[in-house]
Amino acid sequence: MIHFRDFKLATKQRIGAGFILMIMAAVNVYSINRLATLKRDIDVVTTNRLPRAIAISEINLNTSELRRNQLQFIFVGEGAAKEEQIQAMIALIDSINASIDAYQQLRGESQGQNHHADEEGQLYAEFDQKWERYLDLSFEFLRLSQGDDKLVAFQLLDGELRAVYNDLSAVLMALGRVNKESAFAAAARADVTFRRTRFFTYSLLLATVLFTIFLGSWLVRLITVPVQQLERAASKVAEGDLNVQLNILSKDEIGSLASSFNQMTRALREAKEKTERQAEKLWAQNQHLAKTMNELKATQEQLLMKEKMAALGDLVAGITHEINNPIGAANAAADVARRCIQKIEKIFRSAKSVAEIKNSPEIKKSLKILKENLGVTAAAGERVATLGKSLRIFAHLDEAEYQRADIHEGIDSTLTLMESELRDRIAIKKDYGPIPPIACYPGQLNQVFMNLLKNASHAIEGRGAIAIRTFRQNHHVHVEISDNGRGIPPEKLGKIFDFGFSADHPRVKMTSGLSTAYNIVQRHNGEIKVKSEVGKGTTFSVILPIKDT
Amino acid sequence: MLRIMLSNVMVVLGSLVFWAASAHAQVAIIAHKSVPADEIKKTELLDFYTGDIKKWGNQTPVVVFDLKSKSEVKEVFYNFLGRSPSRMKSIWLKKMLSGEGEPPQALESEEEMVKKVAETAGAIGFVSKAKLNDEVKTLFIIENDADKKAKP
Repeated sequence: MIHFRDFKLATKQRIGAGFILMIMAAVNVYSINRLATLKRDIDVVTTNRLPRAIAISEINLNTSELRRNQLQFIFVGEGAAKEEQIQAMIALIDSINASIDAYQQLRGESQGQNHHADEEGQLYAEFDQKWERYLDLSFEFLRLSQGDDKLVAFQLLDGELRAVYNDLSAVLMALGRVNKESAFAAAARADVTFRRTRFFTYSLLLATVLFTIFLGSWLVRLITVPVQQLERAASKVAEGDLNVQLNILSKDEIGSLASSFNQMTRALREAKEKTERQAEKLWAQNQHLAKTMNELKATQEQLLMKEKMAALGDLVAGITHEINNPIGAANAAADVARRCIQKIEKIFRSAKSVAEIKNSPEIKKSLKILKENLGVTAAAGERVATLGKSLRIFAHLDEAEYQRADIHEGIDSTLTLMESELRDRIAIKKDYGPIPPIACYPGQLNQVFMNLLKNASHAIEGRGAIAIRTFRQNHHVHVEISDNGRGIPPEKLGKIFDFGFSADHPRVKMTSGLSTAYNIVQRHNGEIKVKSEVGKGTTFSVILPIKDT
Repeated sequence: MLRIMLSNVMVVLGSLVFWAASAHAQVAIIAHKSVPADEIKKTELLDFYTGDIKKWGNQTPVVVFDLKSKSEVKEVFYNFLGRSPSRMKSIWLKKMLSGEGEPPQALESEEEMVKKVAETAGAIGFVSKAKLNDEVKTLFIIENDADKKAKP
């Protein structure tokens, strides 16, 4: 089932226009049809009834002429006049015959639409009869008038022939009247037809105009109303209301526009919801990531702390060792001194004289040993004092954090603290250039040097050497720490500053030394570089700016 | 409605029956036995009756006869000629006026017609076929031809 509303707009317009055109055409066809009827009615009057009436009046005229000629014929003498009279009568008879022929033909043409057909037919039959009778009498009259009985001829003419003529004339008058009436009737019919046609045409035209206005406004409504709905819906969508749905009332362009609009709005809504869901998901993921990051940071800090504790442990162990040595030496010296003193006291108790004490080789020997042991004790004390000083310098515990510091002093104190680790195995070669003090966190930088030196020391299996070189280049101080250890394979060079684990040792160990060093140097706006060759050794370069920016 | 139609049909049928009866009379064109023709065409017949041709091929004068009163035979004959009696009479009147001839003698009956034609040399006339005898020559039989029937 196809509904009108499902047609395309153009089709609707075409149907509307077609409908109007059809009505207009119908009006025209009707008018033309009625005009044809009108013309026929008028034609009946002009081409049939009037000529017929004329033919009848001509017959009437010519028969009266014939009768007049017949009257004259009696009295005209023989000769040219008579001949003329005869020719006139022959001409009149021809005229009458021509008129009769014309009349009969016209009557034949109007057969079927003749209002007085029966009456006229009767009248004509009567006429024909009278005319025939008139002709019969004319034969007789002619015979009489051509003979000597002119009086008898006149009597016939004035008697029976006159009566027949009068009858003939009356019949012709009646025929003329009938045709005149028919003509009037046809004219009256034409007038009625004209009025009716005019009325119908005007009415239909008015109806067409009204219908056209109605159809036009309806078509406009058909387009305008949905467009207004669409416009309102579009404004709502523009304001952000994506739940707008249009009712689809037709399958034309407006309908498909509404359908597309609904589809678009739906797609927009779905896209928006999807985006929102994704944003939520992303937020959750971010939260999770932040949490993970925090955990990681905490873990890293924990690890760093542990590393620091481990480093501190190493340091403490080294220092303890360093302190124990002189203390041990001092203890031993004290023990020796006590035994020397016991020996001397024994000699003092057993000696009989001062001279004996004075000359006793035992005392001399003991005093000598005592003297020596005092030296050892002093040296030990000095050593411990040096260690303390180094420790103080290394940690800069007693100084403000950010300050100008001597790099060499830091390196030296570090070396002192590491002496127990390096002393027996590794030869240290120092090549200190002239460098100014730089603005830094000395304690942190010392940690860098310690980490690099430890790394170098670990890289050396058995005996080896570590070279420390410092120099100035433009506005930077360079510190190079080179070892002749096993070196780092190129594929690992990129990762050595990463915070992670090392498998260089028999057991897996967490390594944070180099990454800590890297971070500290970064904090000083410096750089740390590494060059290495497997089997030959590794050189770390720490480049630090002299002026703090 | 049906009754009106039926009555119309009856009227038509009735008029058909009447017409068939009236036009069924076969009319013979007859002539004196001596005329030099065994048949005649309509145009020749018309020429004889109007008086345009006055003599047969053997110079015998043509004498035509008419029937005086109205009858079926006369109607069929005049229909065949294609002229009404009044028209023929108007032609004869013209011939009379110009002195070219007289109107044919109008006879009272068909019997008289047969008799007159049989008696008169060069005579020509018309009777119903039923009235024919051996004394006249039949030139043509007017068949019942409805199409050629032209009412005056």
